[in-house]
Amino acid sequence: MSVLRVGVAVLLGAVFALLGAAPAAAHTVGGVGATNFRTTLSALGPAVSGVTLKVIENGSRLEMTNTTGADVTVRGYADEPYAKIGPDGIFVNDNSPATYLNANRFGSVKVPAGVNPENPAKWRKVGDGSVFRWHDHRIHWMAKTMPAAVAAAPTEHHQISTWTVVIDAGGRELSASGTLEWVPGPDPGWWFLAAGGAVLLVLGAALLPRPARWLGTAAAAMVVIDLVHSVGIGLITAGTVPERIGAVIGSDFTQLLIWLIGGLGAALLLRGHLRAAWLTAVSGLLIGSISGLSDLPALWRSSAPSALPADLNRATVAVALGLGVGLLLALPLVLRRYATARAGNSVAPTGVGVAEVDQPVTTEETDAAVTVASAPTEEPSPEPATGPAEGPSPEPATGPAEGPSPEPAAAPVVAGAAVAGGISRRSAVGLVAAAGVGGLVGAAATISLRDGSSAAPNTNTTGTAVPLSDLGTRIVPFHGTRQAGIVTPTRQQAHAVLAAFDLVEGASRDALRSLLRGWTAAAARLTAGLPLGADDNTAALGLGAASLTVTVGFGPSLFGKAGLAGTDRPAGLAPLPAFPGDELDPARSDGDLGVIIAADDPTVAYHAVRALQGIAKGTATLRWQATGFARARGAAGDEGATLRNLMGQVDGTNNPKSTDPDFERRIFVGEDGPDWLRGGSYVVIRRIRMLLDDWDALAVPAQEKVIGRRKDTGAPLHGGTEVTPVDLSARGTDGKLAVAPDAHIRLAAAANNAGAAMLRRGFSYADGLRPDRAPDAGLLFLAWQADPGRGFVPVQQRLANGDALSRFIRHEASALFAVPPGAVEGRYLGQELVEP
Amino acid sequence: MRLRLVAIGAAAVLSLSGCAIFGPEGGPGGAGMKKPALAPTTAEDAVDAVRGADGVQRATVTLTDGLRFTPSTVRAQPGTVELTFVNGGATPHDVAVSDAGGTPDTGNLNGGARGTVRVTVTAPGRYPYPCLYHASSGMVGTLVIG
Repeated sequence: MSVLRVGVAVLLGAVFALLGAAPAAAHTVGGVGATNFRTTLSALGPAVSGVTLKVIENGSRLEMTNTTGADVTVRGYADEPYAKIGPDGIFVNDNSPATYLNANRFGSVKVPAGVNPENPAKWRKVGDGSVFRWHDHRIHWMAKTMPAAVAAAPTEHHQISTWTVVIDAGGRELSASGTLEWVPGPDPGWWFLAAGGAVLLVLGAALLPRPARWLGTAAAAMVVIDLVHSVGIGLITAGTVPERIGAVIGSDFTQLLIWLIGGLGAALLLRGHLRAAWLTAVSGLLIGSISGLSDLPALWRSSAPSALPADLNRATVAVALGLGVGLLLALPLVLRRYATARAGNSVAPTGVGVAEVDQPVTTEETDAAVTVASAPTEEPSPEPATGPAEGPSPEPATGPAEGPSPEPAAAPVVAGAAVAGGISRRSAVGLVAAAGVGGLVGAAATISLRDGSSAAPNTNTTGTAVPLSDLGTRIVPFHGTRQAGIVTPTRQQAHAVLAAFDLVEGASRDALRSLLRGWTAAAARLTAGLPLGADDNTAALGLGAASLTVTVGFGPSLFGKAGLAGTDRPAGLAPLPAFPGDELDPARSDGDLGVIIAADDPTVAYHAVRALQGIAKGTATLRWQATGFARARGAAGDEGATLRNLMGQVDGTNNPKSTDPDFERRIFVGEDGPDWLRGGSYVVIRRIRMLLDDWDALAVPAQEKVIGRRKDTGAPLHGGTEVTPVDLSARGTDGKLAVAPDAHIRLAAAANNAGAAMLRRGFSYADGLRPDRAPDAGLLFLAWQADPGRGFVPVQQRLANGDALSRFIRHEASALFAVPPGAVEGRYLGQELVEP
Repeated sequence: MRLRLVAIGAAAVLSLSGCAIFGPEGGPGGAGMKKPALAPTTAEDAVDAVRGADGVQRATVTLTDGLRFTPSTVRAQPGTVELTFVNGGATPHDVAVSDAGGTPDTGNLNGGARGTVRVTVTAPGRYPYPCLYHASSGMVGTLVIG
């Protein structure tokens, strides 16, 4: 046993000990690695110059900067002062539980007895400067188990919650609010293939003549790529330079070991010392088992703590891992070649020792002439002494996480066959590579198929495995305390049919009851994907529910008919006032009963409205009908991206979220409404035609001035991203307001409308050409609110009186419906109204 | 054949060990994700407060490390309700009963501690009791009056 072998054995032992001791904790920032959770700050208002707030470290912490000359105070969980950033430095309140809870990401601490947020603040200085960072538990998911909605559908986009943090600055109360979302990541199949490709490259290199230089290059590449990856993490880490350097190195020095061992190995290999393959193998083992493994989730999660673009970061993870595993697996290949070379050399003494191993290394160091002389010893030997069972297997990896396999698998068999049949080395390399690629494709396919059982039957011959039937089989529950179609499904369907019905002259209360009973029963069946039986027109035969929702409402004109007193009409259902510029067509407006039907399939949606029309026959007739569309499921790379309207603008960025603390109060009718409407909502429908020819003739900067946002990114014109809070007071370099005085987002801002909020869930429409050859296209605007008088009406009044966008749109139809709560099983929609 | 077995094996290892290796968010496609133990709200997850001799209706609610209340719903009649919150885990909580004329809260409850909130509610309705620390992670219970 040589000194070298003993040394390597000791080193390996140390590495394995380290493996056991250090769990996968290498690359996290602020305690967070790659994640699908996304925390967004959507607003900080009112804006105070010099006070900025940022979400940092993938949502782990908030960062407050105060460059004003006055103190800024962050409030804790019970509204108490928690931290103070000011000219004297940074202070925390020892009487605020937040001071203790915010020490780590999961708040797993004990708050000292006697800490009471109601006691006067006891300030303790924690640092100088103007920047404070803290783990705010309002902005991230705190449970160790996933939210129920995410657990039910992990590959779908979900809104988890919204958050608010209150800040006091200069006597003003600032409110920072944002969202927490679940954004599913990409399919990692291709990245696994990339990692596998890197493994095969290294294995192939090990079989080439003079492998030292190739392996050295691979090891150097691995170290450089891993360095780039780590620098990406260091760059995004908040804090001082030493803290950032610490983040580059990682918490357990794995990274440092990889670079030192790998770098040394690479340098020696490049100088021709093939023995250094041991070093690069150890470095590869470290990447494969610790660092690479803990970074691996970046391949399938939507965000990772890195300053690099997400896909570049994924590439560094996949390729570094592939090279590392390749270098590890290449070691036995290299060793085998020595054994083979030795066996073919009759001069060599028995026993595998360092001296023999060194011999080919010398060959590597010599010039070409000597290489020719030594060439015969490099040829594969026909001698079967080194059978496939000997030594660790050089089997090509089928997954980046796989270590050395003790089982002699396919590759040695191939190698053995190549040797026995006298096949050239190049052919052997090709065979190994081909076998490896096959294994990788199999592994990737198995992984992607595991995502959903429904994917399997749809696997087609072209190799794509799009889960088509998934769209059709989705069911949005009909029964419940809320009607579906308002906040469910989370992801708006792709097609809509809106319709209004008028009761026939003299329709009785009984007739209205049986209509509602019939609609409820039909909607329950259709939304579950079931046909209606004998009366079904089979238009949707063979189609699934496709997320069909049927939402029913009552118009102002219903009161005074069917035995309902006009005085019973709730205040919120007063007809909408006329707005300046309205060009409403009564034939396409209003109605006694309104239905909003939406589905991910257009035929399913239309079939449903036809069915309701059939049931209404004799009691109510169709007054108007409109069809609209939104983004189809699967059409966008980012399913969570804000929809764009036909003007090309993102539309709905500032929509309230279903998890806002006051969402319920703003969208659903509460205690102040009539009994039959409690838990329901009001919907305003406006058919808004867009003068697309005029609009498209406008230069993009002029369009952006009209809206107040950039067209491409949706960012406010003062800069940032789509979700950057709009600063209405920001000015450009020319001293003018960045968001123009008549810009759409300024006039529509909740801050300018006494906090009016509505949930907009509209659909585009395109109904061919008008008589003047202009497109008859625009937006079927749908807005849900608890009270139109505090939602749509004030906002529209403001918009109609000065919105720059008004020149490019026409409101052509309008309707308002009171939408009752949902029907639990055994009851029907509106039962409380018609059977008081 | 052998390669295919290896591939399937690798995928199986990835999926089985998704949570152990890759944390609560799991492996690709959410495989091995750590799922919540309880359905968010079930009918059995509600209890009726018990009226004592003094006319006060009382119920005890346990707070868990899974950031949930058990039960998540307490039903009571209009009047005075006293809720006792027992922290059954190790994570600190602070429970407030909101919209009941101010928001009285338990103050900080370390693991094992208990706190009481007494509210008088006359209007029927739903009164949420969120944990002030963890409300945005879904730790919200409901007091149903009427």
